[in-house]
Amino acid sequence: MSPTLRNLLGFLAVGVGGIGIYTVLPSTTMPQLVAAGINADCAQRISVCPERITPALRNVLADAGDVLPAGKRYAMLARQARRCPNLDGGVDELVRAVRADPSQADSDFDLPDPERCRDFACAVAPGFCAQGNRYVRVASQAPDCVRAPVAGGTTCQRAELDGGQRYFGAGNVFPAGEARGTGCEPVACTTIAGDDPNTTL
Amino acid sequence: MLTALTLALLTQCDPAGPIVSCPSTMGGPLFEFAPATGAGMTGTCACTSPKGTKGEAMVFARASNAWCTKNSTTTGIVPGDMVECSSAQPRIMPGGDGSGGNGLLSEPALIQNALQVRFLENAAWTSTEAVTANTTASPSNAVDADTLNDTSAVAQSCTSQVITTSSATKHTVSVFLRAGTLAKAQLKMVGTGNAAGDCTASTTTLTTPYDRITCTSGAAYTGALTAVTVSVCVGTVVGDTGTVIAWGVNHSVSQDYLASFIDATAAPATRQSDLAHFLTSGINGVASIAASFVIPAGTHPAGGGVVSIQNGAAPGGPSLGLLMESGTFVRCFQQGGLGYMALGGTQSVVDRAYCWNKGGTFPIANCLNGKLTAFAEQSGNGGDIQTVDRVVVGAFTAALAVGGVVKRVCVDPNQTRCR
Repeated sequence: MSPTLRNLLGFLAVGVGGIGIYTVLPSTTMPQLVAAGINADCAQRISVCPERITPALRNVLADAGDVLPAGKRYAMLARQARRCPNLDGGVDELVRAVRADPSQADSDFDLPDPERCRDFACAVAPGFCAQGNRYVRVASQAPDCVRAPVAGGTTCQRAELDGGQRYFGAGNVFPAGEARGTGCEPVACTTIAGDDPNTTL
Repeated sequence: MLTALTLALLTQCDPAGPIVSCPSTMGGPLFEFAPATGAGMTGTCACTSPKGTKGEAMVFARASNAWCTKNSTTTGIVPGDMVECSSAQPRIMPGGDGSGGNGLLSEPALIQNALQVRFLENAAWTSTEAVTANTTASPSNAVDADTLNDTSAVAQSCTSQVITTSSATKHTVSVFLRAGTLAKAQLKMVGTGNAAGDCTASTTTLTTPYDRITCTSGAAYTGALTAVTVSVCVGTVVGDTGTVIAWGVNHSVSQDYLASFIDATAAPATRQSDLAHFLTSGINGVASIAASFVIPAGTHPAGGGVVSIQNGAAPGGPSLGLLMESGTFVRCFQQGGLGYMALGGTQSVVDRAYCWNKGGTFPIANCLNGKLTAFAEQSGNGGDIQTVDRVVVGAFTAALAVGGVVKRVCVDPNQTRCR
């Protein structure tokens, strides 16, 4: 990514441990991005990340036809993205922000865990990368994690390192790949500090 | 008489001391925040917004809860020392060993991976020792610290949790411990698939207040890692028997310093970044800025903001700023030019860093700890004399925070008034 292009971007949402994820400021126009080299430098992609559903984001998703249950505050979302080489030899992912106010550009983009983001070619969802207003949708992939029901029941168990398995406690989240037994609920993997995972995942 | 008084004042001028002690500050800087006098500050961990010394309002954002510590962050922690602030509430605290007055804690976002971190009796943990829940007042002042009891003379007893992770980085774990009938305990992190980042922290000096014991990878784990097991153990050797009191286990990746405590129950939790600024006027990029700050030892994010002046959200970076650089340097950043000053490796209290953009071809000078130890004019284009509308304390973007407490912030058009 060129310094000129970098200067057109908004907030780095979370940058630890992997790809830096930037929002494109709503005030930034496509001609500005093109002039800064986005077409030459950055491939169109689909970025799928676990996100917290803010009110603004909930409205945008509803407009696109994805109505989420009222209590659900976390979901796996797909966004139109650009994948650009950065000056350090790595890559940065650019996603489009929802809000119109640049000063609040990050408030609709809370990533609980950027290491759970995945990057896909546009071909996996034909037409999505070219849609103007429906640039963020609920992804069809199942959540990455599971839990035993909060209400009770011990048939959902977690695999252990020694090959065994055990009940991991009511509502405690663990990776879906470690689920054993029956009755595990698919849920998002992480929350924002202060949110109650028993009611929001 | 007057001359004698002036001379006496001059000899007392201490650039590392209170700003008002230097004659050059007569008339007062344009902007100050968290001065040694405490002017404009709210109570320690009151979770309310402070002001600048002239009453300037702080604009603050953080999209999550976060914990504040009233005194030392690592030792002598008594019940009530730790307070959980809600989202959009700043954390006003001294940092470090609890000395030196209050400032603003500015941290980047961080994910805490352990579950049920205050409830070691929960099924998320496995124990080879007896765990009795909620026996003792914890640092939060709630009676939710747990007693761990090792009665085995032939094995060390531990309470453990397996955390699934493949993060090929340095990891950090921590726990709050106090003595029960035993003053000795250990905190361990053991990788599955790779051991490069394993660590053990031992203590034999637990007393009644809590200590926050930390264990950080000496080297990064490799890509073969599939999980880490975090264990809180009573005693330091096989045969140690007795009880210790434990509360608040944290684990995070991609980070090798002790961040503030993050609570989590049934799922990992992200503490979001702290973003703070004060709107101001009467200044542009030709200015001097200075600040003191307290940071935990470790590698802090390169570019992490300490204090900066900029116009609007300034996505391209500040007009002029003091920023962290690779954990061992402070960067004096100006649009078009960079200056660096060494922090000296493990230094965790910086008192004080200074940055001056005088304009012209070589715009930047800087010094550290009140002395011109690294005074150097750095090359730069000197042409970016921008309009400035705000002083940013700490992070200037969400991921680029200093990771510590920023205090004694000063901004002024004059070269020397903030020194």
